[in-house]
Amino acid sequence: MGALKAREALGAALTIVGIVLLAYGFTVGGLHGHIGSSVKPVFNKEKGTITVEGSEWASDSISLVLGWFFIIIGPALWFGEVPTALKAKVRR
Amino acid sequence: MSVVMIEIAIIVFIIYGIAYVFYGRELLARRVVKADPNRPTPAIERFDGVDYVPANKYVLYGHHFASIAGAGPIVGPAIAMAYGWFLPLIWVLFGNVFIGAVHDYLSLMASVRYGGVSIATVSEGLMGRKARYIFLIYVYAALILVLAAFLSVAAVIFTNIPSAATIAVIFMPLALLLGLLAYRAGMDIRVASAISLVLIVLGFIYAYKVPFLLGYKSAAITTAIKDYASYLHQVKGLSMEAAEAQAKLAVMKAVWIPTYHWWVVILALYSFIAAGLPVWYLLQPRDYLNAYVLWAFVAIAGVSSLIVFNKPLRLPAYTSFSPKIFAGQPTPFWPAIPLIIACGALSGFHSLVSSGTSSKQLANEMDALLVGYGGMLTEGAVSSLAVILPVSIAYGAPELHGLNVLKLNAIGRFVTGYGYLVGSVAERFGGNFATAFNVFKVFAAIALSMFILTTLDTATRLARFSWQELFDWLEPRSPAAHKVLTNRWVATLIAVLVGAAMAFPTVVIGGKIYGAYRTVWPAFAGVNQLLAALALLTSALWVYAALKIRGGTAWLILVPAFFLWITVTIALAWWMAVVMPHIPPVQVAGSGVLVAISLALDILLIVLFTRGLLRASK
Repeated sequence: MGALKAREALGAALTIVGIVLLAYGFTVGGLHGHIGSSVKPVFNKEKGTITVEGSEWASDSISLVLGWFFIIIGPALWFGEVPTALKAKVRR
Repeated sequence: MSVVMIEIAIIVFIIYGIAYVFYGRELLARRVVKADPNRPTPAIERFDGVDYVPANKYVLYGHHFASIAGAGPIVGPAIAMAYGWFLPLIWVLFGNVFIGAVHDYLSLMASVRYGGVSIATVSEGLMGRKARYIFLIYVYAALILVLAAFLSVAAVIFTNIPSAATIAVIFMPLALLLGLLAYRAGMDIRVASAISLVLIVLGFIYAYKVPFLLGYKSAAITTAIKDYASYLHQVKGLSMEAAEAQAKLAVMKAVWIPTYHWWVVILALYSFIAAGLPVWYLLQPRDYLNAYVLWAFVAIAGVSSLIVFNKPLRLPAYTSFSPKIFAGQPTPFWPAIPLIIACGALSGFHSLVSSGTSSKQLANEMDALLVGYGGMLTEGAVSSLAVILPVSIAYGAPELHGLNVLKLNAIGRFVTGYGYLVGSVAERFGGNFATAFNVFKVFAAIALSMFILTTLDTATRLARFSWQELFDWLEPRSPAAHKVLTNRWVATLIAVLVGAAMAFPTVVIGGKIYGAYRTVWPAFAGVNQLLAALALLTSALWVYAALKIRGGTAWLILVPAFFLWITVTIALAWWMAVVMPHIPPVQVAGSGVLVAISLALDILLIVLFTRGLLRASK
């Protein structure tokens, strides 16, 4: 019973945090016109090589990826039991 | 005299309508399988709340269609346009009706009658235990290859078309919301669907405007390529063409590969989670919603075909029986066509979906016709109405300013053809051709990515099923080891790790960067279609030996099965003799070994099949 409660609490927490992270990511992405960030390759003439400027990740893309996984896993833990409607269908 | 769009579209609709009613319902469902609405299905009898869960027939149809669709119904026909439009269309229509849809429906029903097991395990009762394990190992290897390929292709699409990544992130939570509203809150499915669909339309608009970037951005690389290329040309003395190619490769390695790697990791983690979760939780609602998107995708193509009814098919109906397709070699229509067009006409992967996830969710035997036979006809409709016809009218179209669609790669042909079709409709109603063309090119790419994502986690789940069936012999010997090895999370993890190990490393083939799985990929078409031939032979044997169907009806199934087996076997031998010597060396070893193993198993299994057939006819 205790384990079940802990699982449900973890599921609820993941779900709520996931929603917040997704909301943040989509809002910031919408304001910028894109989610995440892009890197810029630059040719270094002295070394004759390509170097990369910038980062692959930004706060909104991190939020979205984490939020996405939290929202997929969270409700499964929170409402993990097979729905009653489904059980009733099988019994019929 | 030129053929116009409407003539072919009407013929396609009529053939599929007649096939569904007379061949599917009257012959297969009523006379052969004798589908019974009162016979409990495995979803009811073996209900476990995870994999064996009954689904509404439209939900299951959505799942089945989205899972079998992958990229096959689009890429294959787009490549086959090199023959002109007539031969690919004939193969899609007749291959679909007489082979592909029969194969999918019978695999589904055979699995249902055997408790929801895979078509490979069904073969045990018909061809013996040896056949079953050979078949299962072959199936598992094929599924790992599918998993690796779809991980890689999805990662490439998300990297190159960042809007497709945005819609994927939006889509999954909406699917969960639908599932929770319908199953938990008890909301009417129509209301829950309407809410989800409105949110999806808004999601599409958002995704079109807001791409999801993980580093790589195509517009940001041109200056670096130009600078590096002129350096290589001036300082290193390379020709301009060679300098540009080398510079592009170096820049792509620096910025494209890291983004690709991130997406492979994210998608591998997603497929691990999605394939282990109960089907009612994510898979069913996601695929139900997916079906709307896919239907919209097909319906837009169908309705557009009717609106621009008088557009001529500019692509020649017939170009050559042997155009240069595989490795630049003349590729004869027969026997090579099944290696080019898979899902649109027939595909072995479908038998694994039919006898894997779909058979475990079928709530009523009567639903199988829509799911198995109807799902396959819908795929044929995608190939003919959304690929073959649009590419044929886009070829040489003045609005495309001299663009030759046949010079584009397969996905380029498809999105251009689709965009052109809808753009023409917009133009007819006084709208802007260019805007509609660009929007629907992106829509087509997004729809393709949704097919691919669904297939990815279905393939992972199927690999888990095959793994679990493969180790059933262990249960009486060591129940503890069996329990660990067949645990759903352990079995899923093994499949994902092997698949990711083939998708994550990159190789350069012909100056382009690919996932490492590409070293064996040229053989996949053969492996997949051989699987189709073996699954259809198994299904035909089930009809003959277990259902005791004899006479003309039995021959209607046995003849296409033999035809397919002979065609695919000869095609594989042709591929080894003609194509293999011309593919890049990095692909020769892996692909060659895979095709050689396939041919050996092919012969072994046909011997076991013949024995089973002779035993049944005594």
